Amino acid sequence: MLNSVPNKEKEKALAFSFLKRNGNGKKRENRLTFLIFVAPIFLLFTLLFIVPLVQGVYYAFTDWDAVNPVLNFVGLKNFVKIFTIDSNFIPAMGRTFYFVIFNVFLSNTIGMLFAIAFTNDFRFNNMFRSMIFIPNVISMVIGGFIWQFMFLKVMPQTAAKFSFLSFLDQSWLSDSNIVMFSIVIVSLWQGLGFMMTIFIAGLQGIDSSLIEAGTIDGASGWQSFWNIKLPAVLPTVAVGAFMNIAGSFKIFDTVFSLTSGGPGRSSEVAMLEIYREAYTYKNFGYASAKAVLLALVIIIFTIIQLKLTSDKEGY
Amino acid sequence: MKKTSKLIAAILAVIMLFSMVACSPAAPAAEEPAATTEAAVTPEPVAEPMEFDMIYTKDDIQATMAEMVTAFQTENPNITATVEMLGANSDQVIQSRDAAGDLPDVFPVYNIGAGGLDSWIKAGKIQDISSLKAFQALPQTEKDQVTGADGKAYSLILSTTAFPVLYNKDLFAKAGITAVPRTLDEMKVVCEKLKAAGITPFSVGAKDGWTVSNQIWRAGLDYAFPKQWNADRYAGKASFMDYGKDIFPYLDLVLANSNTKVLDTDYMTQLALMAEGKVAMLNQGPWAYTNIMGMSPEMKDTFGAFPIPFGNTASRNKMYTQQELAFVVSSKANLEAVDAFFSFMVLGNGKDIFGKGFNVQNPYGIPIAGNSVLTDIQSYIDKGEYLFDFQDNNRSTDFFMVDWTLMQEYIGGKKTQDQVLVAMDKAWDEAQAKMK
Amino acid sequence: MKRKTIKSTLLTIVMGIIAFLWSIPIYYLVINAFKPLKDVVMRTGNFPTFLYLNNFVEVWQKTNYPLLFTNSLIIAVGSTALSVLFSSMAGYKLARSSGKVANLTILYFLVALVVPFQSVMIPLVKLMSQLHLTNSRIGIILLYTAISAPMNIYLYYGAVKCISPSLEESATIDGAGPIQTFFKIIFPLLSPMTTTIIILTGLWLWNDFLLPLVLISDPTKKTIPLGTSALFFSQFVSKWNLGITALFLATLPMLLVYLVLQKYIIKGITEGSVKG
Repeated sequence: MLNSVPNKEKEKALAFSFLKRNGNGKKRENRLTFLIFVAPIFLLFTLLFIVPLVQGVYYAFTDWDAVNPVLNFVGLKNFVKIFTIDSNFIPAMGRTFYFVIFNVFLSNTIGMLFAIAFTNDFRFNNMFRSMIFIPNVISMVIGGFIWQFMFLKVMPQTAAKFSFLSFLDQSWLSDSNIVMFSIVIVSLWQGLGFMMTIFIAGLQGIDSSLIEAGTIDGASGWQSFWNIKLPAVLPTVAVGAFMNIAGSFKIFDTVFSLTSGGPGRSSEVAMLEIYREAYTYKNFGYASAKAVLLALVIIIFTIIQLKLTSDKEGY
Repeated sequence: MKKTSKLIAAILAVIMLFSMVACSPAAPAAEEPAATTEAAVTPEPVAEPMEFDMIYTKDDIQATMAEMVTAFQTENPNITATVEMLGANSDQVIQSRDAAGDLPDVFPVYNIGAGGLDSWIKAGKIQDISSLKAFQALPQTEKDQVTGADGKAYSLILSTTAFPVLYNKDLFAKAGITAVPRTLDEMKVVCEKLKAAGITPFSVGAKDGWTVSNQIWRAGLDYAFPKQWNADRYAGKASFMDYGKDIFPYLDLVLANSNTKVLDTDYMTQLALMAEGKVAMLNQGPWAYTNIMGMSPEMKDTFGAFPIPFGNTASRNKMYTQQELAFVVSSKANLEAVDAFFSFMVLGNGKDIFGKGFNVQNPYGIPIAGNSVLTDIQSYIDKGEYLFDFQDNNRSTDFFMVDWTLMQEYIGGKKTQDQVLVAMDKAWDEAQAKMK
Repeated sequence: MKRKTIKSTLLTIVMGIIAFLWSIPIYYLVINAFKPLKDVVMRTGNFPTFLYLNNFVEVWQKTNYPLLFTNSLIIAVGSTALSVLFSSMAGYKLARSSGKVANLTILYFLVALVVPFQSVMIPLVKLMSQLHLTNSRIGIILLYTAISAPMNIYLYYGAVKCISPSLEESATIDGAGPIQTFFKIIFPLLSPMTTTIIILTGLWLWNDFLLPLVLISDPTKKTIPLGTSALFFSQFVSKWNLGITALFLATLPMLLVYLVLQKYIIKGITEGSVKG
């Protein structure tokens, strides 16, 4: 069967023959297509991401200071330190969880609501959609500045003008009980357009004959949503939620530009704490250990999420 | 099942292959210092082409630096100088360039003491600069500050700056204040007079924590803590509690007489309040004056400076000064080329550009263009009423963020004075433990 | 029919209010590009009292804007194109394959999404320099392709799962090879997702600051965020007026691209649903 394959690909197929099992020609060809489609990006990704990652994980077990060519293997010492002497990382993880819970819940639900609204036909649909998406276009350095101003000036002034909006007059960035929520607001403002766009693409991808069939059967708008649209769009939702969870755990830019972790440490999230450990204090090995822990936490939560959604998905 | 394990084995094989590719060239990198030492030893003819690259971070001297480099190249056509200004994240950039084996020949350091330089020295990545002509031209006090027990010096100070109180002379006159306050009690009177005239005494921008932790707390540490304390603290014999309380009366006075919502006010707003002529004083240095002039050029000459009055003994309230432009030289650098550049800058024909263009206080006696703030600061230095102390350079690096966050917590009412000082001791111990 | 009109009017009103609220910060971004620094800091909310264009003049003089723009464009277009090509192929094949290999490969890519980028950064810079890929546009394009691929593979994976496999089956019966089938039949069907991915990836690359910051030092290779942010923002000085103007200038082309592509999204969707 290999005869039908051009020479170059034959070589490639031979090079990867370790992937082959003694099967029939059809299967072999299948495996070859799999390689053609997946191998280029697999190799590039392995070289430029996994290789440095393996090195980074190795540093977690050393005392490397990011400068000295000499480094010592210290075993699990760094990990022990995180739980014994470090008074900043665990609280920073707590704040990160707080952020993740609010941000993931709100951006998925509101994002889906917006997506459903936008898949309807109404005037200025496109314009409004763009207006909600545009914050994605703006770098958070500037976004942070604009939002400082929103929190510090626009909101209190608005509250003073309209008494029914008096709740807007808060110490959004200086009250340690509120500041994480302010970060959620900015994060939603910036990221919701992204979630919404993915959801719209998913909703639009649904086979319209399914919905038509449902309409003929007399399903109401909500029924058709729950019974037909939602299950059909779930793979997309799963992907969106997954990226959202991982991204929320890794939040950095928004906090860095909006509060720098303040007031005090009340908005110092995990990534910011790790960043400071690595670049301000130059404890690179120790910071790598924290990053490994953070990655493990994200992996656990992602697996839980994928399990939950894939059960419903039915794939 | 069998297929899976085969695949995993294959992936591992690929990864290992790549990590070997990635790791193997690291070995020659370790040999590099040896190679360069050799080059440095070989006597080179004067006109042989040389080059060096340099990074600096002081963005208000960009245009003048370009002028300086051009003038230098005209005089030394055989030396190619590549000078680059870095804004944000400069530490990160320098570290990653180093990781790429491309450490700049000359780069700036903020913290020239224990935390900042130790790792570079231990790694053998920066070299002794005590042979530089510019270094030799320094007064003995400055030399002593950076010279270690082994007689080696690693950082070259080009300029110094100060942490004073800046004040608006017009607003002082309006409130009927004729002399600057030299003690804490006099400062209290000044605040009352200003308030009586309807003027807010202090502009505070605590949202950017450093505006308090650097400009008040760190200056205060040098006011309150004797030199011996650092060594005692390292030996575990001393505590922040010993002298820390002496800094709070001034800090409290500032906070009690400031603009509202200081934790919601950032550095730029702190300056803008001054530029609007609404507030009379702030704890900032000459750079802040430059920025205020950028906003309100018409207020030129209305600003002055005086030492922070931490206590009631006028002679103890000194002008606190610190290094500003300080550079280290990579071990791989051609020291001769670097020497030529720095000599040109502070000893040779570049002096004029340095004094007029950079307009920075310097230990080389180069006259500067000056401004009303720098003139005031210089007058205290000339009278000998100043501190040039590197105490906070000898504290562990962690303290930049520690001070920052604790000051914000104190201002926000989350921590009392005692709790702040206890937290500082704790942070010190934690930093020591982490290093182990 | 009438119920539909009411519904769409209601949606216009509700979504209009939301979109309006969403745009308030953008409005402040735009007006502040036309103000001097003191007004930016102290009177951020006020409409400019006079037409102040100095910010634009100064940004233009201090940066080599056409060069920065060209570099950003080459990098963004190159990386996005490669990323779309490779990720769509991989995402498609992975969605259509069942079995351990495919699942493991998916998990393998998943790693990139959970690992904090900062923790690979220093080793990555080391590696890039060993491969002589620092200070190189091609190097950064390859890197962006590699690190944007996982997310895009997932997006395509989800989208392919929503397409019925019967389409390709009939094409295969007609004698088309797998590559032909993919490019002729599947890829066009994925165009709504492709457009989305082009926008999302392109925007991220266009605004990215950290990677170019640590990988590019050659002034002739710098991108817009690198050439501007570094100049106007540092710890002790923030020239907000110039920074905002520079980023406003940087954002403008992307906004235009987005508004143009927006039409294609709609077009792609309509075509897709007709075919579906």
